[in-house]
Amino acid sequence: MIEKIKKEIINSIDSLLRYAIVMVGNEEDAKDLVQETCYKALKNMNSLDENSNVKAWLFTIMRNLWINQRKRSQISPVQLDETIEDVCDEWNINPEELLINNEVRQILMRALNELPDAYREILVLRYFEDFSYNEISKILNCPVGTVMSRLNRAREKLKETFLKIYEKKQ
Amino acid sequence: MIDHKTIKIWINLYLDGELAGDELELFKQHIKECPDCTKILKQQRDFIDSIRALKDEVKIQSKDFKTELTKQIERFKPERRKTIKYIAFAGIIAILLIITISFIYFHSERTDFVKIAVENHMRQVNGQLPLEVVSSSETEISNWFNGKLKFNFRLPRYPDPSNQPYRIKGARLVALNNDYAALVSYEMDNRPMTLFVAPSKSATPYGKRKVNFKEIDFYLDTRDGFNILSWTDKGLTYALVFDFENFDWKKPCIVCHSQETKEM
Repeated sequence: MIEKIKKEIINSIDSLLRYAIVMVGNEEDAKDLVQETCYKALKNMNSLDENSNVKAWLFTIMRNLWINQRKRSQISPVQLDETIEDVCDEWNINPEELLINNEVRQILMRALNELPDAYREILVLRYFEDFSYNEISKILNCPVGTVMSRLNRAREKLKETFLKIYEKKQ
Repeated sequence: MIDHKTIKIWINLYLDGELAGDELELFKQHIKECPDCTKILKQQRDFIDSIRALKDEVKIQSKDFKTELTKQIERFKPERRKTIKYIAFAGIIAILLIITISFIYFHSERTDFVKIAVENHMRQVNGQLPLEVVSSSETEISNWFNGKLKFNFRLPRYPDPSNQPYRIKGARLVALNNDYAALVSYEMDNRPMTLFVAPSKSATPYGKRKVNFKEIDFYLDTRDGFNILSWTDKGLTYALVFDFENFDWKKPCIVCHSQETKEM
């Protein structure tokens, strides 16, 4: 059981690093955060049972560590609009174009980085790590309904931010 | 008939794999028949695929880091299950106190015992409540309390002192409802832990979870980052306060007391 969890922790290092770098913003702090997360997870392996979702558990640990670090550095939380919205802004860029066009890709990445933390993290959890709404609700410690509405808002905000930067460049 | 507004909301749920059952069927049917919604679905799918494509943009020079971290993880040897010790410790205190505690009650109003226990723990750890008796001897501490409290309180002795998982640091009196209650300070795995004891007439155990063990209801709660285990037995109420993260209350109990413990 312990060896199995260890293996899952090792297999999650890349995902944790990706989440950490997007959230923290620099490589060194991201690595520190991942290391601390793994250490804390190892120390608390006994609290898991066979059916536990280790990856989601690791993300929960890392997020809590990150929040605690932010509290220490006195960063005030961003007020989020959690209303449910339907699809609004049009998106006329297809993924193939995005793959070819480095500039567009960089603009979308910049737009993602400019989002408030809560929007950025929910997009990473959903689209980089493929967590379900239910798993995200456990990681973020919020109801599934909030996950749904925040994700909607995050997507629309990303579109909006992207288009602002994109149009300026044209 | 589903309106377009609902379908637009469902588009994201569909693309995220969160639409199921009748709703999924209705959605598919509508998309088949509605070119406008089909267009929006295509645009939104492209957008989401674009977000997914960003995953590869997050690049970190992580080979050495990953190798070293992997080695550390593989080398890690888990310590003996600390969580067992906490519950075992609380259980032993509860059982042994049954023999030693008499019925004396305060006649004052009930109070938020758990909150006060946490406050006392924090103040004790911060040095604002210095110990009045410093000793690791249960007998010495029990004798010190003798005559100072309106209730009979004696600390039990651990059955096998050579294997005692905690260390008693000392004790003191603390105020509660215009009278005194007992505060005993412990250390376990280099972490502070306090036991707060008061008559059950003026103190009620509380916790979001209730665990029955040996016919005593233990209440489990977390406040301000501390875990609190509180219970009432033979006219006295106890609160054990300690910090311990990712504490799984269920497993240690079963491991330690599988013969006696009901499912929690």
